[in-house]
Amino acid sequence: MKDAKIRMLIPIFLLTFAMFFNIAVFQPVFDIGALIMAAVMCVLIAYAHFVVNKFFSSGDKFLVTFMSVLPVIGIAVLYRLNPDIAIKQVLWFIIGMSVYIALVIILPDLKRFAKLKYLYLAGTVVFMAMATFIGETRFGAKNWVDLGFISFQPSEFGKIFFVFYLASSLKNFSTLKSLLEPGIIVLVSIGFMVLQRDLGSAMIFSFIAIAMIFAATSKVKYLLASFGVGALGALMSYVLFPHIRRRVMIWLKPWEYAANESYQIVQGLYAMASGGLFGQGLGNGSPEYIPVRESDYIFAVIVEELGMIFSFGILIIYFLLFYRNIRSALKARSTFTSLLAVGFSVMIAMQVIVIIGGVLNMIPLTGITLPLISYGGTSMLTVFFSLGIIQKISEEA
Amino acid sequence: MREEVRKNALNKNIKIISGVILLLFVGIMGYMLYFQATMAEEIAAKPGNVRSAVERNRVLRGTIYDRNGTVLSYSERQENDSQKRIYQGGAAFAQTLGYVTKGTVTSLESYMDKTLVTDEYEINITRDNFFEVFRDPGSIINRTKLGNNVVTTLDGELQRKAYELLGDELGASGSVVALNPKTGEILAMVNKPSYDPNRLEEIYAELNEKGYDEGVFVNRASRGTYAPGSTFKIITLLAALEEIEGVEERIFEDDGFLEVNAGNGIPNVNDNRYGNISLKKAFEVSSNVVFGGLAIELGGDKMEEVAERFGFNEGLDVTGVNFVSGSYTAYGRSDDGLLALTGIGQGDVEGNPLQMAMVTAAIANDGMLMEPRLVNSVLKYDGTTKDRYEPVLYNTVADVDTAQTVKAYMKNNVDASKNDNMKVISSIRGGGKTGTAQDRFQTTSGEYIDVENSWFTGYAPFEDPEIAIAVIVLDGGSGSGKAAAIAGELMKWYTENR
Repeated sequence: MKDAKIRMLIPIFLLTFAMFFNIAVFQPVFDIGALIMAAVMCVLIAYAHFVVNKFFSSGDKFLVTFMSVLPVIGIAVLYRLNPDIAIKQVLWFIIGMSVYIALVIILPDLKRFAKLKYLYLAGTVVFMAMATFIGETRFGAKNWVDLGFISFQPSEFGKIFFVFYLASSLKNFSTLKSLLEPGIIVLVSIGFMVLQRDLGSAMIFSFIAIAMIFAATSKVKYLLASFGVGALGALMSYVLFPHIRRRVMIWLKPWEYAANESYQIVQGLYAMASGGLFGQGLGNGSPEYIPVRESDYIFAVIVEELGMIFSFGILIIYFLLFYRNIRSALKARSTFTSLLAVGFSVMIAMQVIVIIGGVLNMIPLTGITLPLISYGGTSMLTVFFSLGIIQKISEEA
Repeated sequence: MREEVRKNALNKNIKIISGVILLLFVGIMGYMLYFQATMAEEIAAKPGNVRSAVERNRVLRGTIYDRNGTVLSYSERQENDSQKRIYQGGAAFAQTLGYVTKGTVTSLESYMDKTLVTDEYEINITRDNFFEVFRDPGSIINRTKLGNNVVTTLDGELQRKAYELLGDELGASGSVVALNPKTGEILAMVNKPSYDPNRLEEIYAELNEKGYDEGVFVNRASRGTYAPGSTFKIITLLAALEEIEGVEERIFEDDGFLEVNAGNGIPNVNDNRYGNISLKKAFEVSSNVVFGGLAIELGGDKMEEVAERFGFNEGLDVTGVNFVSGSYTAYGRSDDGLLALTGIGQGDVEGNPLQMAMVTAAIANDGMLMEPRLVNSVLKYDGTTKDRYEPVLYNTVADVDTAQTVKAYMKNNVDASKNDNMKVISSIRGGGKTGTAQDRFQTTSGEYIDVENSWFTGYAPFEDPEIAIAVIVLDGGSGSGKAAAIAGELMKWYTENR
């Protein structure tokens, strides 16, 4: 335990057991299941740390720490809300971790993947378009695909291809002409998101694209142009689509529509306002009044029950995670892998900002998940996959 | 090599992007702090927040009593497990005690809200249930689920009498505040026109139709901003006694009009000319010429300093009451017209009945101003005392001799008067000061009309004051008329029955 990276396990274990012990005693009958769950997660986290530190010690050693804490918090809160989905989420956590570890073990040097641009292009377009044609509507967005044996959000996988595609097409940026094709792909992708009414994903795709294009081109005029196109697109959607106008309306005046359109926002605000600095205590709040509390709105539950200081801690962990990701981007040997890391870092960070900003009603609410904390398998897999790639990139340093 | 140049540029951009993301995170955290600091309390208290409603309903809201144990407001459990508030005191207590609905809590109900919805509990740990602590901490706590009760300082009978003496229309409507000068206890605080809080839902429905509320919800006795008129001369008198040597022996010349350098001069009421008079006589006849002149002689700063000892401009926190303290604007001698006006309680001076009752109470109590308060004690569900409010000295406004001089001057006002209302007060050995204040009144249609408000503030009895009172009758005319009549009757009843 002399190793600083291994020592990081102690606070994680303490947090895990503190939260799950709290949950166990909160139940009418002492819930030994909660403690078993905590133990399973601790073993998983220890194993991931062990693999990364022992066999792939040239890579980033803190990434795995930050990405372990967040699902623990998420699963604890989910367990408090609904033990059944928490168990499913633990499975997704295990699968996600396995994907992450598998990527670290089996992936060869990532630079080789730079040439597969058209594969990524195809993947992007297929996954982006999929829900438009065979999707079903959940929470007002037509962004789910049900294949019978499994249902998922194709745009989540689309994100991965999108980042890969942009990295490979922007890696050798030379002239404006070479931006034409990625520009079109970006617009098509965002267009599909708007059509599927998945505004949150549309925003995330926009931010990923803007960040990657700016990083690759260094041109402020492209940055301004990107924002210009984004603003124009937002304005056009505002004029064209009533559901977008409604989002803006309830953002500006949430209390006027408290019983109807902004019910969700207002219930979230009530919850957070009731939390205070230290929260009501895990299990003592009333999250049953918050809609979609298990996914998009889980942050409101956290603020209510665990308090603002704890929430600040979560935000700091997200930023530290972002910092470790960006560190890999800076140290990457090739522009392709560096851009990949930038794309995934911005994807995760902006998802945090967009959903928390929305829940706080700082910006119009768009439904996306809080990475690694919200319930949801597709989202969990996407983030772990991205982190696996970044972990691999960090080995280049 | 090209790749390396490219990578260097890329790294620079990555750092810029990281900076932007860091700023966004800081922005979110800053907004959360801002949200908690400025918005959270208000949002959490909103009626739509089911949390507070559920928790509040667990405890039966406590009862509000008057000082003699008479029930004023209480709650009843309904069949559907909700609660109903019953305002036994009715319209006479409406603005002072306030009301509580699902969404709103006002006045004393609001001030003591936390107390009224907090119940008693005891922790009951035995050897048998020791381990229950870990399983269900709630199971070892025995709660009464009966909120604490609040005993006010109000004398219910005095309050009702005051309510009956006031009328509903301009010329008879107004406010009354009575204090115990020795303790600061608010014995009565009444406004009329009023409303029956038991009919709140119907009243709100009517309001929605009418679109205006006639101001009946405002506790004007403690929040009104009126010109105090000649009742403010008590403060001018005190300042003169303190500041000007030999002022009691001085002979003032009153030719009926005070000339000033800046602005209009000030006439006496009815353009009376009092000739050569003493300070005592000038106070008795309420000479505007003398007191306006004194204000100029004293200067705005001195006047302000004395007024502030009584709580003017200070924003005193009165237990159980939303109080807007009086205000006094100090003008320099170059604005002698405006300065003179403040000396007679007109112009830039404001005060409500509670503020003016505090002035008289302090004089009656030998210069010691006790903090006014509406709450005497908090009782547990079983009637035992949980918390008691003790008299607190707010400020010493004058030394004993000066205060007693002012007090004697006030008694002389009453004794020397031939007015029947003043004779009543004289008969109970009281003292006081009338006021007839030029003011503006906003009608329900939003227009301002000029009114003459009738004021009286006084105490009784002289030797050992038990009550200090301030009465305003809106557009009631001369202070020695309607206001003094009400004050006299209330003080007489109080000194004889209490």
